[in-house]
Amino acid sequence: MSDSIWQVIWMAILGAGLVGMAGLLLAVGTGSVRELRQSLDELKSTDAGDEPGDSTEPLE
Amino acid sequence: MGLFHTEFAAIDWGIVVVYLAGSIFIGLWANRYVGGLSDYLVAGRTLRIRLALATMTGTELGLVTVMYVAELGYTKQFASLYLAVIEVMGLAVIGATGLVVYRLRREAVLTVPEYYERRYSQTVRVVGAVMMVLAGVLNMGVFLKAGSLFLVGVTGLEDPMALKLIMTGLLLLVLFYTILGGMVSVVITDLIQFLVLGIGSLVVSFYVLDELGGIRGLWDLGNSTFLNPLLADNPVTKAPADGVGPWMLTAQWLTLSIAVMLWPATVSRTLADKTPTVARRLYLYSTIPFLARRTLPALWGIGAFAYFALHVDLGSEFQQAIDSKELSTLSAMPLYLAKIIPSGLLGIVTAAMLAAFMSTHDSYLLCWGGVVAQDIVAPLCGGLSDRNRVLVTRISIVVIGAFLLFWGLWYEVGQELWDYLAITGTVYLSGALPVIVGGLYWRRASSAGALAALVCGVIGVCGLTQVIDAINSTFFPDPGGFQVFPALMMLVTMVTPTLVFIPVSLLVPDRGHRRQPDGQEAMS
Repeated sequence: MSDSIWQVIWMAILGAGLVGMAGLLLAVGTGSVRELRQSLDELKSTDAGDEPGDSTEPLE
Repeated sequence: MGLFHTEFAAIDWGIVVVYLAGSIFIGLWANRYVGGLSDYLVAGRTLRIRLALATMTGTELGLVTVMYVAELGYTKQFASLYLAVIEVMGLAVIGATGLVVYRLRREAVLTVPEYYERRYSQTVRVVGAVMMVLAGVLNMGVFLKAGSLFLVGVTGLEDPMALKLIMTGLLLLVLFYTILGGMVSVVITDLIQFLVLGIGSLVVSFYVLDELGGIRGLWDLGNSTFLNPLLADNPVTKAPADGVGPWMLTAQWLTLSIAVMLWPATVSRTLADKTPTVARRLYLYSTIPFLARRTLPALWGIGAFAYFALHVDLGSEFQQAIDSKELSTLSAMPLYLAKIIPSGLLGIVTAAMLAAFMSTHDSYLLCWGGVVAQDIVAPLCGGLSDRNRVLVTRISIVVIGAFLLFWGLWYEVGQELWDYLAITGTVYLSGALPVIVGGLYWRRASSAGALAALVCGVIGVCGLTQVIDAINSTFFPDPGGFQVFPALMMLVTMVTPTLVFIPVSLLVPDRGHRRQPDGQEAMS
């Protein structure tokens, strides 16, 4: 493969990395905060309802 | 302008301190949500896809990753991006098929060695856990060094004692909130670190692109850089075997493909996901952050290469420092950023990178600490109460932290940082590959085969430069004849445990009840 083709490939990959990170921040950023709140609520309300084999013993 | 000139000022220190203080507060606050062992180790398995993705990005886009990818960008420029292609392809295949991760999450285990016991025996669990912790802690041993090199470059702080104190303080901070809040605080801090790091990395990339003259300047740079990863010799340095080449491509493809599937810190996030389907989807969506972690720091490394080539005085000063071993190519990117990012913004970028440093450390510490308690101490002691397991996990985290401090401050990396990480990772990955994949998909996989494969993983250390040099000087002293080289050794050490696992499993099958790949108990 010639150097020009490699150059096009690498430029496309660098561009995809930049756009991907920006898109990820937009798509995941806000939604993940809401999901964190849900997870914390579940953790608080299901202290004694873990999966079989997991702990139900509260910790310090 | 000297090599250590930096735009880092008092305001930047202020930004960094405020950020670190916030992390302490989160550690204290998260402790209220830790109700039991599964809350502590896998956040009660409550993670949904966005949160899992954010925290996985926080973990995998660590400062050590930023440093070694930027180093590769500096030494091999565009050709270093081959790692991005390999990794993203591996993730896409796993995400599309659910290969290994779907079945592993379905097992509902807390750690990988726990699966070893369920499928094989308790001995396999303990041996597998020891190998995992050994490889993982050795692998992690250079993280602190990478972090300190970043701080030296960005802040211009040359006093070695001050630097050691700062790095010790950072490690203590991570230990503090990880010990206290377990996976809950890891997830919360990872989310914040993901946001800070994501924005920080985009800002840095903007400045680097601007400094290079935009997309046009980056394109023009291609004419004088290393582009073709199929070349084993580096066309820029003209040094033989300083490039990539087919052997290294194959070795890295094998190592990275297995690592994205089985690396314990990644798997621990898989095990924390709400369902097996979320675990599979997480891999598919992770292609984006993994692409970013392999490309953005590489861009900064390429920028550093162009900068030091253009500023000849600084470039020669930097090269002299490398030749005299005062610095290494790892320092290129931070020294470069210190000169192109303005004060104020540099503090945010540094906070972002420290966020990256901490988000990797916390997950790794929790992962290895959890394995020590769950899979080494508890089985050997004939079981522990949940309270004691968390206590042992916390103690293990402290012990591992102390080791990291000791190892990180005196060990000198003999090769490029990525090569060191790949080699130490091989110690675990090469043995885990047949044991996990064989256990999930092959009915005749046996405990004897698993033990043999795990122990064989130790030969992974043969990939270290020091060991290869010793092998060559002992067995292949003629420099003109055959010589063992790193890529060949990586391939050999990665494949050997699998080649041992298959015949030993066939020759020494398990007797009695063993859990089969389909999850049913069966007499073998």
